[in-house]
Amino acid sequence: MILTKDEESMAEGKSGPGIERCMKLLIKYGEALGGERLVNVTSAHVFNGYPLDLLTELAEGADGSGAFTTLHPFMSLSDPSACEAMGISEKHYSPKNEEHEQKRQVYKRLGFFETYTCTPHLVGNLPKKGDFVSWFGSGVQLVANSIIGAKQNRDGAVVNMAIALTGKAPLQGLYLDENRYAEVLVEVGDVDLAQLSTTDYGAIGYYVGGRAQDKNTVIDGLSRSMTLDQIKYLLTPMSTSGAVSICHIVGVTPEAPELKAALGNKAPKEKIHVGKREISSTIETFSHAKSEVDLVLFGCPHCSIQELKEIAIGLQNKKVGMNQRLWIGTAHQTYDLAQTMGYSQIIEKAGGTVARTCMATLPDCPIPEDVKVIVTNSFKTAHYVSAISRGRIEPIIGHLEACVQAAVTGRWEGEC
Amino acid sequence: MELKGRTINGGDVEGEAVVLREPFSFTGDFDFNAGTLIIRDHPLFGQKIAGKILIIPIGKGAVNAPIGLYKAQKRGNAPAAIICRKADPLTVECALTVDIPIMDSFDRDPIETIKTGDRVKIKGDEGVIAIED
Repeated sequence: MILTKDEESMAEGKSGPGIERCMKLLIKYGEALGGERLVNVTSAHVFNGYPLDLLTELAEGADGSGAFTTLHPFMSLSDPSACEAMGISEKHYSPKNEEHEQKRQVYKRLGFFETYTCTPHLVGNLPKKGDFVSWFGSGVQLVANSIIGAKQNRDGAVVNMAIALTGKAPLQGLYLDENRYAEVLVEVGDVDLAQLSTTDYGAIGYYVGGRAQDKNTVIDGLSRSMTLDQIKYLLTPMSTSGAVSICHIVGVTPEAPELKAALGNKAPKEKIHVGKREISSTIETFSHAKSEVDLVLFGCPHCSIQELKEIAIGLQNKKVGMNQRLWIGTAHQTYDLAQTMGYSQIIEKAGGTVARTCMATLPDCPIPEDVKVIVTNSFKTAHYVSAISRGRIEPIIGHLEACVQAAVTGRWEGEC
Repeated sequence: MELKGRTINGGDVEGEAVVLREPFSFTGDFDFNAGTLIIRDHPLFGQKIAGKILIIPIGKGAVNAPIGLYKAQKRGNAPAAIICRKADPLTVECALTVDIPIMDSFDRDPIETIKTGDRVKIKGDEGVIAIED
């Protein structure tokens, strides 16, 4: 690999043993993948679940980060302000928070921004089209590649940290334009685009992920009037049922003003049709005619301020049922804004809990034993709750308003 | 018998081979507290890979796999080396994180040539693995 003088000196240990180790790792990693040189990375978003000793080793001697770096949420429920309401014991969260305090000292030294969210682009970490980035979180990687047009590989957690610390990454994979074109074409047809709900978008993403697997994908036939929240629910499940890293949306993705640009002027290797039948059969994977509801869950990925507003509107002058729980995950910055706007007060007064933590690893914490049925608007949540609880908990998918309604009445009426 | 391949991370080690025919994940298929394979309904379920030569067609799995392997190494439970038919980025990252030899792209298929239990000598710096008769 060809290195600049600066990169050579970093690899020789002139910036400390941590940077030396990170550089050597990135160079060998890049060589294995055919990278001919390193590039400068402008934005990083890093995992927050490193063992303290590994974090300390990688950052040894470093007094700053190499790129603008934000942090992913706690990988266990450890927002003490919410734990009591969620019935999570201090014995469970206290040791995790103690270790986290020690890691915070390292983050502070490095200048990592303590965002603790899976949606860094919503709290100020917003790269430009064409920027090289390394973001942790499979859902938001899709956002970086497909909506922002920044260049992102599916880096593992250690490469991700090495890139953040050094600000360098090997030029390979999806960093190269020729590797970003789509092979799989998804054609959306026989649906009324104006009638598509957020749940429908989630179903399209979940269906496509299961078929496209890890292949570059393009979706044609969707409306440009989709909101960012709808796009979030469309993209996220593609990395749950599959491992798609880039999904061009014709007319939305900066690199895909039209279909042929997304395909690199070639014919697609594979075509997938998505219509009414595919959408409804995918929703049926997690649907239920009528049921009692124990827990309503929002926030994987983290709720946006618009979603918190919609939830608050649905709960105005209402109460969450006596035997129901309503848990909502969001970034602490978004929570602050929701407080300024009065949304969190409405939600909390109604008996809901807004936790500034990660909802994806919720089954990692003791979900109360009496929870048998969960209602959610997120296919990612439904998928993981079902898989990690090994069938103990049944997830139901529904539209945000219907989920809020279920929290109030305690009943799922079978309308998604 | 010797196989020639590409060295991604060098080093000389030897040990007993554990050969898998399926894509392998350090997150789902491996218990880092015990150093054993935990692939459900697999004939090698419970097989120890700590200190052994892990031979796999390719890796798969979640992006926190290198952390699982790091924890395993701290407990003395990491394999001594990883041999792949074709190394994927995540498996390369795993091996580099704990600094064990990793090789791929051999002149003969290691999965078909090496059997679980064979003694294998890795000469990473020469790009060679030797199987003892």
